[in-house]
Amino acid sequence: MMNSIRNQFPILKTRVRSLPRRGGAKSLVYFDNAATTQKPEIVLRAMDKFYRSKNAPVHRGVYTLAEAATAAYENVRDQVRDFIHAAHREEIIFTAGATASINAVVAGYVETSLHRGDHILLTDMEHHAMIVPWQAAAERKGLEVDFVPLTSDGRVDIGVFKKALAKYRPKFVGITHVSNVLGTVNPVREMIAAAHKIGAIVLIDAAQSAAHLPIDVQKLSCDFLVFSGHKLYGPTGVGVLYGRKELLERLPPFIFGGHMIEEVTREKTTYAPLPAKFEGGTQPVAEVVGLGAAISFVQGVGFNAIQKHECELSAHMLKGLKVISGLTLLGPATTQGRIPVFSFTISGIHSHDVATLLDREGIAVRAGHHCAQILHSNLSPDASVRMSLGVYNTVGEIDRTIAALHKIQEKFYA
Amino acid sequence: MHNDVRDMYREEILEHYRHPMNFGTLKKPSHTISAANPLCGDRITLQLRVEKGIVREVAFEASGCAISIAAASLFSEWMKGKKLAQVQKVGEKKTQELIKAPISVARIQCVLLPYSALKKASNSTSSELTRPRKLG
Repeated sequence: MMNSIRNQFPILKTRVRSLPRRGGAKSLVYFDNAATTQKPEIVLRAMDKFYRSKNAPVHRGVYTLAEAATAAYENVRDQVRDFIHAAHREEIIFTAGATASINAVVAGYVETSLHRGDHILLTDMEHHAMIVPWQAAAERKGLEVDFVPLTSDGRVDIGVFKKALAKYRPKFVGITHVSNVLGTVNPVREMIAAAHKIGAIVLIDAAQSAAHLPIDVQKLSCDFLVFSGHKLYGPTGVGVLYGRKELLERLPPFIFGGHMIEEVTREKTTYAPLPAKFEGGTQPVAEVVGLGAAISFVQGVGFNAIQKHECELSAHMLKGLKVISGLTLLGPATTQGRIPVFSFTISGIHSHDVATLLDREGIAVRAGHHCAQILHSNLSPDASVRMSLGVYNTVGEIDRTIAALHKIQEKFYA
Repeated sequence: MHNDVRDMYREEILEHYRHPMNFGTLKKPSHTISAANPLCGDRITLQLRVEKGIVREVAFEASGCAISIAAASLFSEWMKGKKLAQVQKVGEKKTQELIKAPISVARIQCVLLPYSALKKASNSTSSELTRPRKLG
């Protein structure tokens, strides 16, 4: 199966020549999938084909080409509905990405439903995309933002979460489905149920999970859920905001302009019904089409196969990292309840040096705090190296990386 | 991994990282300036004792990657006995020259960290920066 998947990603055939330009180029090992994934042929072709044969404004023209473009665009809405098991197609809103989706929910919710002194509950595991919009809104509106602390191995303890709910009585709860630093999967279903018991609205950030775990918004019973196309083997510039219909209907529009209106007069504008109300302006149609192709790709492989393969990768990686002396893995060292994302520090070697020297071996990893400074400072005072794997990565690539890490240590400790 | 003379990870650079020159603090600094790289959280505090416009003593404390520590080590050694104004003027170019290796775009900020501390001193004439201050 592996070869047939890898062959679908043209960029994986790239060879890397880093500085200093000496020695042969190395074949690319792409371990930065939590930042953005590579794109399979099916996505590239779908977008290319759209521009070549269907490009036209959607929802505007009465001519044949515009109808084809509109159909292509709206078909993806059905695909996304099916992908996350939403009850209604108009609960699927296309946005510019997960960050844009979160900003939209925060802005709308703050405007309509939150008041000075209201509490917002987040976890210490959140990405800046969840933290910063709430903090900015809190400053404007006088809200309180509270954080659920994590266990020492970087998990959310449901008991600690429930205590925080009881203590702060938040009106709104924002939770990441999966940590972008540790790869840990949160018990979101239980967390949502507990939050609903005290009447809080829950937003799930599925940016990190959408490519790795099946999502069922009805089973989760979440109020809002967001994800990006580009972390799901799809294009950049497109994402999804899912919201329960009755909540989206109450939420004010966040982008005002063409298409999102019902009627405009000199006196007043009335807004279009869902989902058009939230899709003002010309939409990134080719990107939406690319997102549809990406979902087809993921569904073609299937989550059973994805999870089986990624669990094997996790087991192999954990085994390899374990034998590197002085390496500290952030978060749990088990394959259970995780996706293949691994952040670590090596004593005496800065993460940027590790990343640059891995790059010389053709291995692309991330160094830094990974847009999660609160989580990161909890677990490590120093920047860390993150390796995040995807469906096309292999055990052989892990072996190459472990060998390279040994080599870097030899060089530094000489 | 080879030991190319044009390699920013050649043994000489790693040796500066392991045993940086002028690492520590000064007893009576005339300037104490800090800078940080927001990308990675690397930090440097640079101390100078300047007399009649000449850098007489220099020390730094830093947490950072091999490249930023080695750059600070080389740069601090180079500036001793030179006119502060001159050091400030050519510092940006000089820090890169001292590494003697091509630096990838992603890592240039690491090399420039000691210079960005020094630049802050040059841009300020306030008495606050020229008064001795405690580190940290």
